[in-house]
Amino acid sequence: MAAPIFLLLITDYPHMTAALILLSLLLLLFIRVPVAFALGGLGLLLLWLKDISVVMVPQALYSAADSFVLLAVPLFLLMSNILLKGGVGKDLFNAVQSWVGHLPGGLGIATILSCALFSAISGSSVATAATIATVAIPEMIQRGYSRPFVLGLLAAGGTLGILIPPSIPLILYGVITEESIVKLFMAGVGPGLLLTALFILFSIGYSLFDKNYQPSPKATWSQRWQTSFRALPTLLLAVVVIGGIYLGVFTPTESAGVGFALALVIVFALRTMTWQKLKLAVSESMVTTVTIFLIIAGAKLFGKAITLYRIPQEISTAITTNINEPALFILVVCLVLLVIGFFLESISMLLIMVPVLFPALNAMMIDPIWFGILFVVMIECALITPPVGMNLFIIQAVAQVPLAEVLRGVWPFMLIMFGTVVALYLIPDIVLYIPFKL
Amino acid sequence: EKVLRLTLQLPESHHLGKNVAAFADEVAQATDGEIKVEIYPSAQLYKDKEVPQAVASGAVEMGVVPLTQFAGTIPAVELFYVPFLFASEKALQKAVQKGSPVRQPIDDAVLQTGARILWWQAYGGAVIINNDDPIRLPSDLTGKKVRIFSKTLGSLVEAAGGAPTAISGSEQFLAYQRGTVDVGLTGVTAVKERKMFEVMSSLTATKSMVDIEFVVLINEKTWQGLSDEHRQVVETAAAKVEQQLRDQMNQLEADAFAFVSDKMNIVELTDEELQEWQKLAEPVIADYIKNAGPLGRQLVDAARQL
Amino acid sequence: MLAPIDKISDAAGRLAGWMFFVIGIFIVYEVVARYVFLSPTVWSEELSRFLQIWATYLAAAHVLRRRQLIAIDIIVRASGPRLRRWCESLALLVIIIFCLVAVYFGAGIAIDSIRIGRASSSMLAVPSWLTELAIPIGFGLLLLQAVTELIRTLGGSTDISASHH
Ligand code: NA
Ligand code: NA
Repeated sequence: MAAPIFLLLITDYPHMTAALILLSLLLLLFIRVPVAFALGGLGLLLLWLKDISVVMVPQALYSAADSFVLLAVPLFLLMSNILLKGGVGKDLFNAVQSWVGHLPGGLGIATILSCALFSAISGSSVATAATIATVAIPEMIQRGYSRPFVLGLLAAGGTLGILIPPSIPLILYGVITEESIVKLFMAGVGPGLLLTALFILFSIGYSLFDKNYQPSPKATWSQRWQTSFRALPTLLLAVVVIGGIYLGVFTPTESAGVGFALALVIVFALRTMTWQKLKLAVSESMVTTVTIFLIIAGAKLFGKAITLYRIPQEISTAITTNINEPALFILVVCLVLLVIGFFLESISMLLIMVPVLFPALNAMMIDPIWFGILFVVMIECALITPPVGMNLFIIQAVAQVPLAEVLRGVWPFMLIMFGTVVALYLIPDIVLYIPFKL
Repeated sequence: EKVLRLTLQLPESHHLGKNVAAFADEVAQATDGEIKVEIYPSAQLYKDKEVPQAVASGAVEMGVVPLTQFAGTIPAVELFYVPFLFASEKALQKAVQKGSPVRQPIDDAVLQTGARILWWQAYGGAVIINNDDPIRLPSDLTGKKVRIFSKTLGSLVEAAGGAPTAISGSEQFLAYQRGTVDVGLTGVTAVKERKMFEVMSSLTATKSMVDIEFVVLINEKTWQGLSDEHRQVVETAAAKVEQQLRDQMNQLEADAFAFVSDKMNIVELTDEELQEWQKLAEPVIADYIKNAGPLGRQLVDAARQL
Repeated sequence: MLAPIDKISDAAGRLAGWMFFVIGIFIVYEVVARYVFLSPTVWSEELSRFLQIWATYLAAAHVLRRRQLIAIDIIVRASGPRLRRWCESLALLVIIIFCLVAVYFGAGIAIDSIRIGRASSSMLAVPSWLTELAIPIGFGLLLLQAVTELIRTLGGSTDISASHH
């Protein structure tokens, strides 16, 4: 009975259908159906209502995991988890701190630099935030830095993990849009460095204004060489992984594989790896991979279902007929992503929104590589906006503080990210120079 | 109203996409809108390797797919990728005609999987591109890394002493620019569209090396469910757009050659050089027959008699 | 009665973890083969994808059991235990229905592939059912685990998903 009535509705009121589907999805998410199954289950329901063969369900599941490019996800996760269990996060932080710790706001600078460096071996913002937070938060608080500032700094610094290559969201963006992942990775470098620099400037400015912290003592040269020596293999690894992709020696997937092997070599050479730790690294990488892949599978089925209802096509047409100014389009997209980012976790945000927005890019003459980077910066915002912000939760868990305290420190960084979006729009070469003109 | 959903790997603006759109228009007109072909381009529904199964299972009614995607199930379809099998371009044109002794057995074999081939779509041939001295003889490939797009081409490259490397269309330009591979096998229209002339200086024209064909499939149960009259309409429309595309493809290739002619050093193979390549292809042909069994032998014999 | 299902799910999860590890070795071997021996393998890419499909779906049940499926709990977290349990049962029901469809139609695809001898179009020509079977088996395990969790939820009180990671 319900099916024919629903069919009548969707043929006559396409916008209402889209709204209804969105509401159903939010309802499923809010009663805490896991994201993968909220998407997949709703996709299944939509197929059934339109009398389309549900053979599409196992086909979509199979297809989601059947991708060579996606292999980079578990391999980059293995690489960074192995390094983590080998204590590399602490090594990195100690090395950086020995060089810049004594400067005004030095620990803040060291924290951001460590985040940026760790980003070059980790594809995930959550991992970056968790790793550096574990070592940096106790150190900074002990030295009297204001707590909200410290918490905000780490929540925001961690987001660099997905902008500086390697990056899991950029891999997924490349898979969905069939754009070159190599170019996407290279496009992330410029904005990643810009954001790093802005965060550092903010830390220096903040420490000039708030002088309650005690500066770290200047490290001796022998301390510097000693700590740097331990961090050096990891830095070389980052150079091999990113350089190899840039020079075309490896594909991103191969580069992840090589990074994984070298990470094993490093932690065994440093004698910081045990069988127990390795098992843990393998198990944690597996769990993260599978949670991401299940969401990809659910999103794939949901995506096919709404495509058969012609919803992305309708939205794309609606955008291109009502908006003919690229600047306005970008503004609308950013606002939509900001709002969606309050509620959705980052991978779901990407998997749901990119297929809907991507068809409109061509008509707007917007470079798809540039758009990918813009999208990732908006995901970075989403990671630190309440109520659903993964990095907020990570910092909250590591520091054992109320969410409100993290929020008090995080908003300036959000403003910096919006500023970056404006900069990317005004000077597209920040994104495009390295992949296309170098 | 009967809706036939059609999944397409390429964008709507590509000539294969325009070709199915022309088919959809023909059918809608001839049936007064009783049959509606809905096109889902850019792999929105299925990647090309999933299409044979998706159409055969009825999850989607129609689909466009490279013929060689059936290679695992029906190894004989690799025939058109067996290098230098056809004596001339004319022989090749005969082979792809509907009902030809080369094409009919393939259509029949595909039908056994539950999907019917409505028409074939011409996609063009392949050329060899590289930097520096042009590739004229198989020995020019020795020790070189070569981009390939099919396993039989891989065998040819190996026989010549090169290292075959599979690289997707979208990563091709970068692979040439950064020297990940030294030599590329690709379509001449792609050389123009993906601006590969910016990173490669020589192009060796080998139009009879391989021929790339796409096929348009319809689920067999859906087909049998159509009325006689509708089936007639669909077949007529299919035949019409098939010929249109073949004519257009020849023109597109000619245009692409003209376009790149002042940007690259274009080399035509002499008869002696061509024979060297054909000699090299012998073991590949033998391999093909071994893999493809009696049907493969039958097709090779048919191809050589054209 | 429910404990053996937990054990099977955990074993499948551990196996999946090491399958990803093996994929890493395959990929590195491929790079070495290409640059050192100048002869790329024909199997590394395809076997890696093959393992990835199996590993992903074999581990689904384990991830559900460990409550690590990503979910949004801003509303449920704030609500009382009764409503919580309702929501959790409902969520498990969605998973169970989804699994039933995946198992039934997934098995159908594999059986069909055996019938017509479908195989991949690559050099290896791997029979398709070998990988297609990962769907009915993986979601079969998930189905068992989800039913187990539903029984537990209706009996006592547990969370089906981690808050955020
Ligand atoms: Na990164
Ligand atoms: Na958020």
